[in-house]
Amino acid sequence: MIELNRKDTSQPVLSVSNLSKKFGALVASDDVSLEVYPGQLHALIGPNGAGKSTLIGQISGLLSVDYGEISLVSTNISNFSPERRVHLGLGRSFQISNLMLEWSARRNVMLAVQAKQGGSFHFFRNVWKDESLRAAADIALAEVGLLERATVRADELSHGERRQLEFACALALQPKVLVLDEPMAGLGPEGTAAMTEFLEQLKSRIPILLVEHDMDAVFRLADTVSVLVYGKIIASGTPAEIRSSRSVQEAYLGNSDSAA
Amino acid sequence: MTREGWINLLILVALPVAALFAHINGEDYLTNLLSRMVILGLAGIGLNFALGFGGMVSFGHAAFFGLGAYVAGIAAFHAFDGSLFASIPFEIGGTNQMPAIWLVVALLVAVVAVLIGYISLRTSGVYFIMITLAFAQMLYYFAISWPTYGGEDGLSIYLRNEFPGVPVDRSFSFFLVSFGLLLVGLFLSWRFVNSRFGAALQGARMNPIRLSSVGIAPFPIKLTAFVISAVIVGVAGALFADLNGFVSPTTLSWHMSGELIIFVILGGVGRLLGPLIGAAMFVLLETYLGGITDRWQFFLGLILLCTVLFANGGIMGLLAGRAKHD
Repeated sequence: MIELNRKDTSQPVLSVSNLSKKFGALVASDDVSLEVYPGQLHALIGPNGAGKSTLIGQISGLLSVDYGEISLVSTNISNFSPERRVHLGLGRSFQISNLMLEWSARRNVMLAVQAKQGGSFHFFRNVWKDESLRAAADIALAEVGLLERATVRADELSHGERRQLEFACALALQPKVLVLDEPMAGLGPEGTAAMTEFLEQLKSRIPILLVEHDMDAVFRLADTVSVLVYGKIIASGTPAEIRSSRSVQEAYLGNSDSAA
Repeated sequence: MTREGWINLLILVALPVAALFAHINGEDYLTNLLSRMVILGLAGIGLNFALGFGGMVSFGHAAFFGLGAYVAGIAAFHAFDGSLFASIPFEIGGTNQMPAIWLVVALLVAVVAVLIGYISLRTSGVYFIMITLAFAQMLYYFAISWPTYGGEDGLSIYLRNEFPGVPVDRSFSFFLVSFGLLLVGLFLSWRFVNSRFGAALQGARMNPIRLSSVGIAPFPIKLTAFVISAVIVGVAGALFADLNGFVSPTTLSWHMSGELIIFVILGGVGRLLGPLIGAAMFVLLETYLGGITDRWQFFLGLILLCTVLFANGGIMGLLAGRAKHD
């Protein structure tokens, strides 16, 4: 493994250290360590089956950790429930759109605001007329540019709009860090360009761990790129360093035109 | 007001008006029929809270209905002959006061529902259906093998339990008390469904992963809804026992669970007053079609089939259209 230089010495927002996970004989995560620093975007790339989804699963709490530690700011969250991690500020988006399809866009975001505010065991006050929820939801919708579509049911939104709506939900939770699982997937060239621009703006405010196959977007957005192959991080460094790394070329980018 | 709102209002005015006419004309039989609709409707509304809004297809809500019925019957049994239900660790006698009975029903059913729900809600889909069915059948077999309270023959309530200040031994008064409870049940469901809790519950039905990813754990939300649903059904069961003056073990059997599901599907899953319409339809068919032919359930089956095939959203869906959200 090549250790490429790490420039930032400030406290990481999210740090994964020596994480390992086995499914039977298959090693899905092999001593993985990575950090996400304030104001930065850390991209995680790797071929299919490299263990990216397993890693995201462990970070978000859907999969248990065999060995190693995941810390959010300075709290060890390795054994926390997914919900508790969200409350502590771990935001995430899904590879496949994941929304309340029967609800309007606004209601989807209102649920996120409600989760942030608490009170899901309040039984009497009308939730849909709650101004504090509506106002916060509309701010998040405006932020992703979806405010004029607030009353449209999620299943009537376009694929790109659903992605925006997921971001609105994630932002409404005011996360300390965002873990994004292929946000460009299924978006056309225009959608990808718009999403890239959006993430560029967002990362200065909320640090991001990005798993993405679109190499143009990755190399444009990332401050740090880590390459995961067979559950192991084989290289980590600036986009320029990763591009010129021989072992990365061989293992992953070598025969791919999209890397150029 | 929405179209569904007007329909709801119409139904809630029509029922007591019909009962009043029946009462004035001395048609006690009709009044009792209306009480039956109201009580079964209340049970359906209870189940709908879990099934319609929470997506929990329980095939075991007869457990709660029957438990309510048995509490009413057993309390009346001991009040009637002055004996004790238990003397260890302290003396528990009977009572013939409805509010006290309902309170006991609510507490007991809540405890049982926590136990059943805690185990059942770890499964989903067809396993959830089967495990709730299994729990209800366990209670059913327990009841028919307990000779003290009639076993297979059931338990008679010789004197209807009393409600302070209301002569509930008269059909119309009893209807009014039942209708009052229906309104309470409806009011609670309505508020709960549109509260923060209700939002989380509907979220748990539609997409539990989404709910979890905004930081709300689905399990406690669903368990709470399951218990609330069970308590409403249990109180309806207690009323049902008093209406009939008899507690049959069939109130605990899987047929009863099935009937409750039929009320919900017939009237409209997830529609506030849907189960009341469903129960009313069921009682009408049972009474009038059942008077013509013993095979009335064949026609019930046909109607149910048509409802599922052609009226997505039950009768309420047919009348008021698809449910809307802003």
